[in-house]
Amino acid sequence: MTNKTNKIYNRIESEIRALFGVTVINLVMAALLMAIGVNIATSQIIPAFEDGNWIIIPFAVMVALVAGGIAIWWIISTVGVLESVSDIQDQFESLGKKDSVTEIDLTQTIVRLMATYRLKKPKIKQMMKVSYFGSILFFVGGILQALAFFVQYLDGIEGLGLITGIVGLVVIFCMSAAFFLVHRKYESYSRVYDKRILKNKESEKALKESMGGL
Amino acid sequence: MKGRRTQYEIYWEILVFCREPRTFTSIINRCDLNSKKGQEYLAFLNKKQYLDIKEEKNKTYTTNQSGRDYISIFNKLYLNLFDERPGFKL
Repeated sequence: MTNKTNKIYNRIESEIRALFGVTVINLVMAALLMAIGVNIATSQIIPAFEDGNWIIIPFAVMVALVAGGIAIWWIISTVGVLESVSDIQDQFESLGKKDSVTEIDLTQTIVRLMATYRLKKPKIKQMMKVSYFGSILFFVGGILQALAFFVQYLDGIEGLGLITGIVGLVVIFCMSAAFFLVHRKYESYSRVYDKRILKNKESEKALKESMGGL
Repeated sequence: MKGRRTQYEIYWEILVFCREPRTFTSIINRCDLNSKKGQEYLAFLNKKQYLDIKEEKNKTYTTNQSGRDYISIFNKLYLNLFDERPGFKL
């Protein structure tokens, strides 16, 4: 293996691992979003039912359905991407040790990565938007919760109430940060591959010439 | 293979697989093509004289030197895509 192919091998390995990692994080966040959305809505339904506050119930049901629907769509989309990335990862690992990998093996993996991106690009663009929206939503929710917690703190909250309040705030802001990370990583992935697709189109002119036109 | 390949990528996959003599069925299975598309692509590659066809017991397709030159050009172009920064990192 030459220095160039060694470098390319390392880059491909690193990119496959990064893409797999961000997709798994994305899947976890989608599952958490569904759980939290449904939990928030259902935690409003029972007290509203007990208090006879019928106006809140349909609204809470709607919130639960919307949150659940978005999360299910998100989970299915992410699983589709994860399946493709997992296939590429399996194929790359099946090539064996680095020294035995040929240029053709590397090119095959590159072709698969490019083909996968072309197919999944619309879904990835959508997930970028949804994760950005999720980040904003949780950040705003965190600010509101922080304000509410501050009022409780001034009223003299202490002990377990203080701890759970702080933990809740940390969790919300961590989720906002995680959503933002997913958004930025998919944005980076999309930017890099859009550039490669563009460059690839220019390469096709060279291939067309080598074939004496099509 | 799941994904959206360009026609050049499919040509490359066929030519790489046909470095050894291959039958039509094995080509379409390996390169994930339907029968009609497989025939079109093989007819094109044959017209460009990238494949040698032998009709002995079974009809087989083998990549010739012109086909191997295409493979080399394609490898070089695609490896260059990943040779340049930036890459994608977590």
